[in-house]
Amino acid sequence: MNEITQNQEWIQPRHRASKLLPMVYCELKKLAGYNMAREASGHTLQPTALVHEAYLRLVGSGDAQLWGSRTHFFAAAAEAMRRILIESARRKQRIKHGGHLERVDVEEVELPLPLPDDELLALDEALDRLATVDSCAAQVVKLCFFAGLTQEQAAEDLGVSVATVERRWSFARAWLFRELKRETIAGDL
Amino acid sequence: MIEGNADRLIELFYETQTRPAGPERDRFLFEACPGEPELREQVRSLLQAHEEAGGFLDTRPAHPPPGPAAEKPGDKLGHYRLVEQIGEGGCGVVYLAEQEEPVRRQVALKIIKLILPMSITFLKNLSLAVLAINQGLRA
Repeated sequence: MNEITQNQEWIQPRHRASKLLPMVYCELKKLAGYNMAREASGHTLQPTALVHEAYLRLVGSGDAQLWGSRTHFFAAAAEAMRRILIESARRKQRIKHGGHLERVDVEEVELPLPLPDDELLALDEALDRLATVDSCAAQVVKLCFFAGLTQEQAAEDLGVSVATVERRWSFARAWLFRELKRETIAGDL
Repeated sequence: MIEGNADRLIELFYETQTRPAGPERDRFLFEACPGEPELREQVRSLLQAHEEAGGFLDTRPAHPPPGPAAEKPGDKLGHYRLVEQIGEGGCGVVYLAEQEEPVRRQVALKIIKLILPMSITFLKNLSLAVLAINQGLRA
């Protein structure tokens, strides 16, 4: 039996994280809103920096008991940031496809996307498929890519060794790249 | 393959990847799973993707932040001398410190762990928090 099957604890934080998700989501949206206001000054933050700022504000503000540990926060934050970026990418797509005259909610926020909108949406779907192949690998991508954790931090959060995270990250990156490439080829045909 | 856990493929992909491309790698892969051509094909296509992926999903900052500061009681930081650690949180470490100038007093000094671009709002909240701690100390 290897480390992953032995140690199922990393699944636990995700369940707890789901309860915290709305709160982190709101906080990230709020920060993203401030971020937009900063756009004119050219000092917008990358999404991962916003996650860390939300961490400092929510967990660092002394409400540590609510969060239990960093783990719950980052699992929730990765999911929240993923949703916000996907919403942002979908909106960009709608605008591209002539939907720019539709009513825009003032609460909607724009963030600098880590990938072009169409790639981000494709990545998101591929990530769901990856989760059915290896859920830990998908979780590693969420923590590192959407919440900006280092592999060491992700290992700590998931309760597995750094070597496990490194291997899963390397696998996930190749797997996702292969998926996106297949889609691109299929799309060109 | 068990749904939701691709241990064997991941391990094989990793082990194969660490070997130099060419006959040695091919031989290793064949010997590792001689009766499983599908698995070998999976590994090979992942290796190809790995080589083509370049900076795909690269999240490492161009300039990695410096490691955690290894400050300890007795150290001097500006006008402050660290007396003892009185707290640790997500943001950083709080020390009881002696301020030497311009007035001599005890203060709580919060040392921020993360080197990140911070918003004005965050810094404002932080300074309010520090003010509250210091008022608590003097009370």
